[in-house]
Amino acid sequence: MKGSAQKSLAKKVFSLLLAVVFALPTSAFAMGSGDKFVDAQTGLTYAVSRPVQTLGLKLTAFQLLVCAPGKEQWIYAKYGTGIKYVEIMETMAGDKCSNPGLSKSLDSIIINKIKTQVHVYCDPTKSAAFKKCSTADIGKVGGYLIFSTKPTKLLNGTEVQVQGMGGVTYAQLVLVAKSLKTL
Amino acid sequence: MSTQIETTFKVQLDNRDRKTVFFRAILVAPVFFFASSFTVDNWDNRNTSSYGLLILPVVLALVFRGVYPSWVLTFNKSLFALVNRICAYFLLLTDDYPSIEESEAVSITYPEIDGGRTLNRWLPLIKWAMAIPLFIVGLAYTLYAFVLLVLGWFSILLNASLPDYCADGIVRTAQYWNRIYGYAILLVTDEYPTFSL
Repeated sequence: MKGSAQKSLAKKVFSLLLAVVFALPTSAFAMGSGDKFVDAQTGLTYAVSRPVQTLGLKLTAFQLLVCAPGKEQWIYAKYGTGIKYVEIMETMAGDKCSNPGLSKSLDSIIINKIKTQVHVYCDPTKSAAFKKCSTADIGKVGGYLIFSTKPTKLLNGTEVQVQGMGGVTYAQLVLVAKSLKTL
Repeated sequence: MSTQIETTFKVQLDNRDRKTVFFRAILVAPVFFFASSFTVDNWDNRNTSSYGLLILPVVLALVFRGVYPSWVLTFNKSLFALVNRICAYFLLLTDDYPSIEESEAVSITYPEIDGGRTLNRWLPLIKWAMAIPLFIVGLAYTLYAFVLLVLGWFSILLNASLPDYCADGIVRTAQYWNRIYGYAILLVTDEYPTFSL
């Protein structure tokens, strides 16, 4: 009798331990709306945009990163794994929080009534290829679109960079940029 | 979105440097020895899988205090980034020699852990055991990546370009291992990594 009571107690203690181990982490994730962009907007004074079209790529990374002292945090979101991915970076308009790297600036285009600058990551040290470099090369070497939205009554303007790598074409990049909707 | 480590490699597909690719295994040696020097205390135990990352102090801090010391996290992040830059170079993803300072060749996104407060205090004791199936699957992926690496090596030597499928398979395998390291070694997430690439 005593032995079975001890076994029962041991079972209860073991069950309790397992419950503690597996139940604790869930409480930590139960906060927030579940939408990273919406959660980010609550702490920022500039308008946050979220893409509707992501080329079938899933959100794999989302971060609020520190900009310069006195500046607001900036958003980094990545869609896709492997070598093909789209990145979206949002900062307060006028703030420089990240360095996009060396690229060739092409003619600007209009997306959602906003002037958008097109860049392609061609190597400037190879001058002949660099001169010929065009939007057609974005699918091979990557590139990005960058534009600034105007401030609204409630929120400041935002500088948005939509970057594609590993086979994301210029047309696809434009598609993602066009689908950006403010929250 | 999962709360896993997400690694982004800057991959060079075209206009590759044939000479440095041919001698890659030799060229990587100096920076490999530099990174290995962090594991010098473990050489007697032949324990090189941790790459000098601070594991035991993290386990103790999480179990007994429920915190992940920020300075330990900073060290682990920096060393892990260095190891990834070396891997990217060795795995032919880039021709840029790995920098021992911070660089944009590899960027790693970590989940928010709020100083360890979002992490379970007891899971660090059993994560290594729970990760064993992941390690076994990872070995199969490593074999697959090795085949792609050999194909990629020949392709670069012949055409000066790394095929998409080779680069993608190698990157996905590296990302897979990083997710395991994030879960079982760096202990920055409690979410069990997926078995898929």
